[in-house]
Amino acid sequence: MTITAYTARAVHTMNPSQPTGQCVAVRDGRVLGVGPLEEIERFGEVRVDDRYADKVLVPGFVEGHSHALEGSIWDYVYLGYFDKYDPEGGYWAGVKSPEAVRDRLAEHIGDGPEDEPLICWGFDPVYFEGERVDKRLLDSVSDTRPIVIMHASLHVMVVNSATIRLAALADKDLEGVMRGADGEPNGELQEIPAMHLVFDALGFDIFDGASNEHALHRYASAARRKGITTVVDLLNPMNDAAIDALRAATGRADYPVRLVPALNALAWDPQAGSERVMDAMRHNHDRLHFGLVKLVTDGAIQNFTARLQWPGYLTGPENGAWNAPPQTFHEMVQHYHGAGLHMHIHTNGDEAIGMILGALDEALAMWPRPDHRHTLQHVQLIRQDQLRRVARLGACLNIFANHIYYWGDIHLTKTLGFDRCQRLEPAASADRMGIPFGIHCDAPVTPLSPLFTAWCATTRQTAGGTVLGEAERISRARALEAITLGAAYTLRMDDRVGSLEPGKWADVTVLDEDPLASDTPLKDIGVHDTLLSGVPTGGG
Amino acid sequence: MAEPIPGIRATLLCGFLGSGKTTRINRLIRGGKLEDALFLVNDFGSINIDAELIESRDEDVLRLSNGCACCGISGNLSAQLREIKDWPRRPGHLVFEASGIARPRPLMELFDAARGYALEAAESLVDASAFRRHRRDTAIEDIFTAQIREVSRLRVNRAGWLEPDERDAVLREIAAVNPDAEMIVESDEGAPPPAARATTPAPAGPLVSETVNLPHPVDVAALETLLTQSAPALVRAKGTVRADDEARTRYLVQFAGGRVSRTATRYGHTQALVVIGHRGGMLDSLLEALRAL
Repeated sequence: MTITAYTARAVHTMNPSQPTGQCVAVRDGRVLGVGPLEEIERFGEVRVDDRYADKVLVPGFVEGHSHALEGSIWDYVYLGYFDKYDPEGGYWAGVKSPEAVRDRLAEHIGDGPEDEPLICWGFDPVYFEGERVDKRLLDSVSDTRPIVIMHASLHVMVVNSATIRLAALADKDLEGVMRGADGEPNGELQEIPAMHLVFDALGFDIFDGASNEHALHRYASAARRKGITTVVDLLNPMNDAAIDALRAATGRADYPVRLVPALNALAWDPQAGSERVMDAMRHNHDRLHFGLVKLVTDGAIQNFTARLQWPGYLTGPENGAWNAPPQTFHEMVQHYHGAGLHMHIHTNGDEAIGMILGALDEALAMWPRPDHRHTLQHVQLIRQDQLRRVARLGACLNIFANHIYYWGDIHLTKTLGFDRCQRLEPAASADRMGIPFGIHCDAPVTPLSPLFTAWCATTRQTAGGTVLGEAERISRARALEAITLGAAYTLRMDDRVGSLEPGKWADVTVLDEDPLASDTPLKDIGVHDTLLSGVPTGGG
Repeated sequence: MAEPIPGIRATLLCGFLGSGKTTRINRLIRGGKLEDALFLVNDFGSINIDAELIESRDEDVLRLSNGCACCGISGNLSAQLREIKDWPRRPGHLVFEASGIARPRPLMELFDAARGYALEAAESLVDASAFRRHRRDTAIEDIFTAQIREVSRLRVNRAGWLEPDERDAVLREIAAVNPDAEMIVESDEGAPPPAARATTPAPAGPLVSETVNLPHPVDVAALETLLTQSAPALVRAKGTVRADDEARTRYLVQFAGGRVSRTATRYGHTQALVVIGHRGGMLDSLLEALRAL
């Protein structure tokens, strides 16, 4: 068999026995060696490929918490505050003022048929100064074509007069229909009872299409562009159509990533859900890996829906919302643990984290299972005592490092206050206690980019420039491990991906600069290419 | 704007986990007063409609013997309400069983405002025997209280399980949370389940733990029957077994709190059952029967 050796300026392997190498030699899609060429040649004739000779090779990045919705949401117009790139690499400047909102709408108001609504996503006016964006601004762009702007939180929308007419909002006596001084709806709608009227009148569902093949291809292309070779879809419906789409998309030899879907457990009866996953696992192949089960316990801190312990929120409501009764989560944890499946559990607030630790404790007392690798996702507000329990229970963490950058300023002034902001996303504590952990972006909530996520974990800097919890910073080396081997471990795929070791798949990320040796901020280091099973995905 | 067709009359059923919503729904179906009704259930689990009431299964919709139908929430409620009013067999009445964690107010607003629907009634079920426990539980107290406070009708059950003094006090405490609500106290309920009753006298022998190896596939139903029949002598039993079905399915089997349950599982290469119980004739015959399986 042919041996191909990709030479490079530097190779970081994440293999402690052999941390660096001279090249990555590939045979049969696997890493054959990283040692000197003359040593590799003992295996046979080696074809040297020097296209990456001035680049740096690291293990392919593993994103352990993001959603295929990233592949469909770009069908709508992006109106977020921060600059972003779409899956094809197109640049979208952040929308930073009401004027910019108007300009972006005006630019796209001619897109698509006039009788279909113009739908926008990601809007986050929390950063704007001055007046709120309401129907007047939207009407100045069009008062005939329906316009709908979804807030990033998905709890609020702003619509124009055409939409107000179509949904007959003026007649509705409903708390969530916000009104101006004249008593007329001003275009802002809060929460589902009010927003339902618009979904109903215009017949759209922003989550529709996130599980189809088109979305899965766009999602993979977005991931590949940022150096990812293994990516999850951490809340998949796993109905027949979704499974067919996953199999069809990943069945193509040129699908550029390995995809790891997790069952949305709250949509299934536990018995049927576990049977569903076990059945789907029969379809596993190199690029498709079923076996994960996702539970979502609480909401998000910035939306005031995470379940918090004392003293609750700094401003706003007292506490957030459960997605199911705590007892139901206890039963689900018992069930899926007993079924031998691997759980990934969304917990943001410390009350939600405590509840799930209690459930894991009981499940493990009943059915001891070393190396279960159940993973708590986000764990933004986890306390030190809870970290100690995580370590004792043998659980893993996947920490939402990006959050500090995007919402740290809000957490400081509106949701949590100074002290609890120091402990947010405590990667250094997890490291100190020997808890296996990854770090993640939760795309499309924040942009898909492991190097950006790693930068967040090393700097803990907010968008406003404040550093929160300096003591929880981790080193570049540790951050690089978290976006490769750490995340792979939480997915139970560290035997195949996450490091460059003989026998593992030759999944490689090609960087323009050395992430460990250079002073360039990690987020500014360019991703040149990726290799999946030793094959360049971008044509070099 | 006038509705082109009369709206679907909606009844909202709220109440915490275990408050008797499913029992109430089964009773409403059995009572036969609702014709042409759809029961929409948001329960994070299987829909527990009594088997004899189900006539057929039409994809995700259960067709019931009295002309009604029942289905679970798939995806989001907003999208489902849109779909239902476009069904060819559009129901005249919708009974929505909210999840145990739902706050009534947003749901009342939703059904009140949604085109094609008219909110007729919203009630919360309250388990009197669990009221004080839920009010003390800080993880759920806020939601439990909102479920009582935000509706106009409270249906209180299991009050008869309490001693008279405690019952009167609990009913006063419930009324204090929502003094304006109409309160219906259910009275035609059976006795508490065995777990809540004073435990039946069990064999008093010392506790022993025995491991039974089951090298061959077993009849799981027979195993469950054996465990259930020996309940008075049993404290706990758990293990992994391989069923004698065609697929040789592996199950976790457990006995706790007087109940047997089983879960299909991926692991369980060891086929054995650990039995903890009171030494005596009943336990001995159980162990003998298990070994003979």
